[in-house]
Amino acid sequence: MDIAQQVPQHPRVRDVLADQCQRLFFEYLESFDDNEKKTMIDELCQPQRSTVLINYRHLSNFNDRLARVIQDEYYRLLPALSRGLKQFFREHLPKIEMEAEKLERFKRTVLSDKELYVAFSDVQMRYKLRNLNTSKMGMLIRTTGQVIRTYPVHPELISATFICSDCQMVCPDVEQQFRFTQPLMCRNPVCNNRVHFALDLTRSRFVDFQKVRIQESQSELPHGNIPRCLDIIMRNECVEQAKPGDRCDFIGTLIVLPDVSQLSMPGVRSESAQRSHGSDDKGYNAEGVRGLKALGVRDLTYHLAFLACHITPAEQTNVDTLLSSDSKKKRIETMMSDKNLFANIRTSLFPTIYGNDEIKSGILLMLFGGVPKRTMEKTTLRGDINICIVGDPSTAKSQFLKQVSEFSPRAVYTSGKASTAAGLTAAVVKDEESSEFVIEAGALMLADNGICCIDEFDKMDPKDQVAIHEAMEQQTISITKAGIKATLNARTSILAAANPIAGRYDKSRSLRHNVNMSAPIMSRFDLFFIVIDECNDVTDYNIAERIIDLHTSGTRCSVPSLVTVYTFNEIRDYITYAKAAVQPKLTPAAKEHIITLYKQLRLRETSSASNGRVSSSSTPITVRQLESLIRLSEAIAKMYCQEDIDIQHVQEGYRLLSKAIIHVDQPDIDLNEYNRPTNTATAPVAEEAMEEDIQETTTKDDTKISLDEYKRLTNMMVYQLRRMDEEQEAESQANGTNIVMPGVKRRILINWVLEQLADEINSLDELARKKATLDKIIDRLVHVDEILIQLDKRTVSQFGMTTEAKDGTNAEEEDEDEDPEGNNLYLIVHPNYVADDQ
Amino acid sequence: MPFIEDWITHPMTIINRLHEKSPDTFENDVRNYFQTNIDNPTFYKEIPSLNDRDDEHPLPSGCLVRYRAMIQDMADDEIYCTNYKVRSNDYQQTEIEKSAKYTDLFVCPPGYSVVEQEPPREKFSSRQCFLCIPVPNETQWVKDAYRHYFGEEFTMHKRSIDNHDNIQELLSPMKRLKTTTETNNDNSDTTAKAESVKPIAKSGYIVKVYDTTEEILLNTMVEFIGIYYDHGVVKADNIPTNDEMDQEQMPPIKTIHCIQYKKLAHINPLLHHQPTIELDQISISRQYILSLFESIFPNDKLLCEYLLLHLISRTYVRQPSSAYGKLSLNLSHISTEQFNSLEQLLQTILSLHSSLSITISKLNAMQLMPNKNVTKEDDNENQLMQTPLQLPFNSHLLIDETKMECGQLTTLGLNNIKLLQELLRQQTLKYEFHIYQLDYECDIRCLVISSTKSILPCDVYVRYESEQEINQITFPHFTKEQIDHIRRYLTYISQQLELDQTINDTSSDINTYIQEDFVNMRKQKLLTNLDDFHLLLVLARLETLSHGENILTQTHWNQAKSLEFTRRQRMNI
Repeated sequence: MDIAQQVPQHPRVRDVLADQCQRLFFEYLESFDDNEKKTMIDELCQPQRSTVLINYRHLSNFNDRLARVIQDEYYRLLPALSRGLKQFFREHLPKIEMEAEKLERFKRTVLSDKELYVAFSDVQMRYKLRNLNTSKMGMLIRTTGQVIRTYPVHPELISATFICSDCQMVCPDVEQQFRFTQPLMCRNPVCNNRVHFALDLTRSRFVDFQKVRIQESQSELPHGNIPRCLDIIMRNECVEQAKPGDRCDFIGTLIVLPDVSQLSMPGVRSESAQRSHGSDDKGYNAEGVRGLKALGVRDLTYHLAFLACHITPAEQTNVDTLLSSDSKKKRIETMMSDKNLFANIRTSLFPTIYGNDEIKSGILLMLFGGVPKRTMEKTTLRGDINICIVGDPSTAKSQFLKQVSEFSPRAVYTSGKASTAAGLTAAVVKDEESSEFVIEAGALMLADNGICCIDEFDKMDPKDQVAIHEAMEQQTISITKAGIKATLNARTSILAAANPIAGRYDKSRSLRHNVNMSAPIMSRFDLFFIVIDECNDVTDYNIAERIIDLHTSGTRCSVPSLVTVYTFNEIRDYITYAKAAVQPKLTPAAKEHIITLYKQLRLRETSSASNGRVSSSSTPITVRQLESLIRLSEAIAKMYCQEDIDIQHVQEGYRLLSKAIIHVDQPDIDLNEYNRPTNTATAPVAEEAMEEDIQETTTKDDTKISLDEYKRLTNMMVYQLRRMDEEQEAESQANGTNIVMPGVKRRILINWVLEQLADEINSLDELARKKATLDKIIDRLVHVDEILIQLDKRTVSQFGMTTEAKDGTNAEEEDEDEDPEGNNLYLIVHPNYVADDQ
Repeated sequence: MPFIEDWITHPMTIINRLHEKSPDTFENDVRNYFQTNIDNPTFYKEIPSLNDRDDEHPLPSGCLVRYRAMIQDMADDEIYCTNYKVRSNDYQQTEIEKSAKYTDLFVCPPGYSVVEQEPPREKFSSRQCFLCIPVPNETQWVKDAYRHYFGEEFTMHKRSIDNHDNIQELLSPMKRLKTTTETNNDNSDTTAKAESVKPIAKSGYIVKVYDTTEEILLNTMVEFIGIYYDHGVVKADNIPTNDEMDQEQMPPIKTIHCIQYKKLAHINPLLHHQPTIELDQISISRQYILSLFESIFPNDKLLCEYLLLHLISRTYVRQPSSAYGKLSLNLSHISTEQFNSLEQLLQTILSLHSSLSITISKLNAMQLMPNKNVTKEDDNENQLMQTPLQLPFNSHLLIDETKMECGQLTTLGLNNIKLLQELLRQQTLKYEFHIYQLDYECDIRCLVISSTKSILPCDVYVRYESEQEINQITFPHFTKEQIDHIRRYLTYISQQLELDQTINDTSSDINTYIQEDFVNMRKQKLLTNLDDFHLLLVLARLETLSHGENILTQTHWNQAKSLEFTRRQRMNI
């Protein structure tokens, strides 16, 4: 009864290419095995699904030509592909063995009602957002961007059914392309209606539609340009997959939309206002400059948009893509076989920083990282290596940090001075618009799976330092605030830089006294590096050369001396590859070796503690250091791309660990430097002769002693002085007298020490030398370190201990005047002094 | 050759004619045609300049213009349809193909209508869109000089009077220099004058550039020559109630379709005619400048020397966390009178100069970080907000910190301080894009005037020392030529810096000498900090250049050293 069917219609132009592709695509679908077909059908049975996802690479393996044609003419072929899909189901459904009821349902719900679509995944043609131009139009491509705005989902009319208002004739299936299109005229040949149509909602077809706006991601942005934006149009299943802030990969094609409201780009605020003015009286509606049509002009701008068929979260450069590129693969292989790999990467990574090889090694290993593990109890052991650099100002600390944050794909650089715990970890904030509480990511979370560089770590408030304890060891951040309770991942390595407390590193003190950090935080760093600004002809000369080179290079071109073996990109690729491809395990031999090394460390630690000696290690050796050692060994094995951790790897790790954390480079102490100037001048002749003798004969060994020795002797003396003090006090209390004589005579002290050292002294000569050394040490302790306090008789007398109580002292008082050595002066320990490392 | 008025007032007619003649070679033809005309200096002068146009006297839409501007923002590329067809409405239905290049609208001759077609994809092309504003910190004399040298006879309105004014304005700073006895009166006079200068259209133009081969970066200065369109006119026709509209509304952004552009490394008009200066001229100019400085800062040669080096400094090496070559200067303990004269002097001799006064309340209220809120719903809001810190390369910025007081900084204030610190330290400026922040390189010479040492990190800090109070500043008498020499000198020398290879060219003798010197200074503990060494190298380089030489010698190195050590002695560092 449809009159219109009898009306002769124009023969439709057939798209031959499309028909061919439809047939080839049909063949491709036939090549699927039964299981795959079944899963396809199962999926399409679900009410919301109407898209079949095709793996593009799989397709190109089946028929390369078809794949290439689809790539080039995607937009044109899209309808043909959908038709091919439907045709496939229609013809193949009976052949597939399935329950009859299910088939029936599929036929009913899918084939008759649903519009089916084809989407592609795994497309290799990737373009930067900036390079998307008209030449790419209609091609199947992939692009990446950061979603900045999403619009609400709404239904889009894709094929409409109209009813002519004049004759009630039905015009079915009017295709809609991005704008509302009415039939040109009524299909009833006798009806002249061209304008008045009503949309029949029930017989029209809609799909979900959503627009999102993406912005060029930071890494793709060329230097000195403003990031660009692009609108993405998504339909069906793709809807609601991208959230603002996500980095996503979009597969689809570029299309051009005529854009009516675009004349005023960007930023004519007045236009909307003008429109509203115009609209009431002249029928000049809000369609941009349509009014211009009357003047014989038409707006010329078009709008570029991206029609996406498939969305995936943006992948970092993963191993597959790396290996798929032959040149990169080859490069990685050559790097793997490089004998001098460690040193080469190290120098390539920090071309502008002179020396400091240990730090470079440490940072390099941090980039590789260890292997994270899970214990039986489901707690995780971190694989990330944390590093702290402590050092004098202007020793390239910040430069290390900056360089790492530039190099590493996921790195965040912050300064401890300006960040609070909330800024570093995560904060609950009230959203301005919705007034809901939301979690705002801090630097540590932003660097998840990357590196967080924190400069001026020591300037952070101690309270804030505490807040990152959890992040550093457990690698999570827990938030309990304002009704939100969440545990968030913060799997980052931390690279921190700190200044010593006094501005300069005091080598005579231990690390802990040099850095303003709590012990728990310190133990969480695997490696501590100390950079000391020392005056040294050779290094200075080299540094000067480096700097002059830098200034010479003049206009921004690369510095010739900075040509490196590998480029940043190569190293980056290599690291990505090594991280993903290798998960090294300990060999039994290496295990043994680690155990012995750890035992050694512990033994040294405990023995030095029991000896009353100050251990020179900067942190106490605990299980954490054992873990560090394992992590470092793992990282080294990873760097060489080896699955097994050998003894060599452990040894290298141990070397680094001992360089960094156990042994703090402590210099010898030059005792002469601090000698009392009056010492030799007024000394009695005999003594002077002796002293001169010593000074002539002794080598540097005597005037310079190692810091270890110095500390050992100091502690010995302090200990003895304290003990004697206590004894005296006890004695005086026992005697019932209140007069306490503070201090010990210098001579007595020296003698006591010499007694203690008796077994180390073999000859008289040595004894004399030792005595001289001790003298100097005491001088230094009194005058420089101010650990001991020297009291002469007048000060002593103020304590009221003077005369009668002890006659001996009286007698000796006369001697003292002729005793410039100060042998009879009394020494006490400075009350504020706390012995190191008890 | 068509009549002169023709190609300036109706360039589109020429373009269309060229297109009709040979559509294939049309693009080259257009370029060549305009190139020959523009290259002719007398013709060039005829092209009206948008820079000295105010809103009251708009140019007619569709004419050729010159526009000296800074790229303030970049929009997405625009897709346009390269060709379109019009069909006559009579029964013959003759079709004419027209080019859509250099225009925003399809234009139909009367009796024709545009053929509606889905253009096949080959016919699309894209053009780059820049939002440009007049160079924000161009000093008045530069504007005047441009008007003077490339003055326009082609005008809609009484140019003659303006011309007269211009010369007066150009000379006004000079007048000030001569008549220094009545400083105070004159001072207020000039400021009043400055305010009375007609507000030149502040709003920017969208410049659409075709076929760019080289990259145009943000904040570069460019001179565009193109066709000017004012589509606001079309709209105004439709809206009778135009007058009722809010005055605060932004005027519609007008477009320029660029035919030719030229990147400008500097905007000093004096160097356009004479690109180089002779050596003897350089040393004379150097003396002139120092004598000018010394009249403001009597008895302080050190400060003047530093000030000169500061004015010609320029970043030449960038590292991830630092920039070398810059020489930011901090002056303190100078009187208000000195400050005012200094500012005035800088305005007279520099081509790009602006000043920024920072106080607690200002820091807390003002957003210094340029930002583009991409997340805003309204597309029209979506443009980069310009701030006083978004300046072209080689600008000079005077930061006035003298009015700083104690107070609490808000988050905004703190961010502003951080921004300034980064600017001074690394010569980069952060731009906010709301999903992320981006660092942009910039090159702004910062002179910080403070009452004591500044809170901002400057490379060099000099305290002014003098015995007597300075109340009156007497500038030496200079003719206009002499001032012009100074202006040329400053621009020329700082341009040299980029080309120059002072240390590079020299034999390694001087390098070894410096290296040994460095080691020695380290030994004597004269040099504890590597940054000090960088500073010395920069000073030596600037010292060399300021004398117009381009090879670093021991003399200059020692000069730089003595300069720096004298300063340190004064500062007790």
